[in-house]
Amino acid sequence: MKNRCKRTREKWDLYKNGTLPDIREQQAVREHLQTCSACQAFAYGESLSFFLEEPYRESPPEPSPDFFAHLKSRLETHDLQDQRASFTEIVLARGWKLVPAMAAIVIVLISAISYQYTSLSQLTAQSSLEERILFGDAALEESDILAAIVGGEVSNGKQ
Amino acid sequence: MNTDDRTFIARCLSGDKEAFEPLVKRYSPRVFRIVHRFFSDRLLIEDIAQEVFLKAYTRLSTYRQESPFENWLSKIAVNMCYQHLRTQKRDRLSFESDFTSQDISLVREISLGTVRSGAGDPAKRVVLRNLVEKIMQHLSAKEKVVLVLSGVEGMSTQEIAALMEMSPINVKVIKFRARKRALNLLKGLSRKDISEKRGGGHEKPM
Repeated sequence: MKNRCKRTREKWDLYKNGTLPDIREQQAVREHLQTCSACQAFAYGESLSFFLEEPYRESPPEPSPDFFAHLKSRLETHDLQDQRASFTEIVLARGWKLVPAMAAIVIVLISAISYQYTSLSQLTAQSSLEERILFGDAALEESDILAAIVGGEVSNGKQ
Repeated sequence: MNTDDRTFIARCLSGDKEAFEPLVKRYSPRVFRIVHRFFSDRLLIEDIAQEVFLKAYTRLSTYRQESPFENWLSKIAVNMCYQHLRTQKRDRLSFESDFTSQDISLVREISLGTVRSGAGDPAKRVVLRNLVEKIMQHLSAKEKVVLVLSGVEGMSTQEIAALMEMSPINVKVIKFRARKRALNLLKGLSRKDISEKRGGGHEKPM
């Protein structure tokens, strides 16, 4: 950063408030701001709050003479609502916020059910083969029995 | 909470509509001040203020008397303004034609520090306000609300978060984004001024 830029930024607050003691310094800051784009960008950043806030410092308007009378007549047609919003009202008001949560719940439920179903069908198939071997089903091939025993040993071995 | 407020609210809840009037008279300056932060049209300010009090009345039974009535009413007012801002059409495309040469020279004066806080020139303040409103048209409703509440109302991030039902981090992000966008618009206006001075560009009649 150039020395002139540094000086301008150091003196910015005093300059902006019009309290720089030396008039030549004030002139120097102004001239520098007119030519240096980096310091102009700095000045915009520093002025932004003032810029956004200053016009709103004026007093708000007073209510018009018929404001209260008009409100009173409108209140006559309005009644107090119930203590709490009903579930339907909440869903209607915030329904869009609940969509992702509902979708996540549905996905988890479907996954859990499909996992349970797959495990159960595998278990049923395994136990029905074991039952057939146990009760000496004549229709069973030797190879099926061997496969069931080897499979069981392998799974036991894994455990 | 003010004991008078409590009494009036209890009377309203038991069906006495007349008891709402003192509350309206007491808090209308506050409601008008909030609405005035977002809108400059007097009729619109009155309309929104009416809607705020109507909503407050119909929803009075949902008011938990833990926080002051004024805070609860302010929340309704801010939300009502936010809803109105959302319905206003955002116009991003007409940036170049929106601003007059008077606006641009004012931006330049501000950046050069020649327009100071508390400047007693009401005419300049009106021009400034019009200019800020044009800049605000390029921001989203949420950005406007956060900027106004933090800058003009002096609310903390936590207070805005509670009022807008957002996380404090979200408020900080919106505030940062809004300031950056406003700053870029100001810089854009300044560049427009420079290029017009260099090239003797066409100025929009005022």
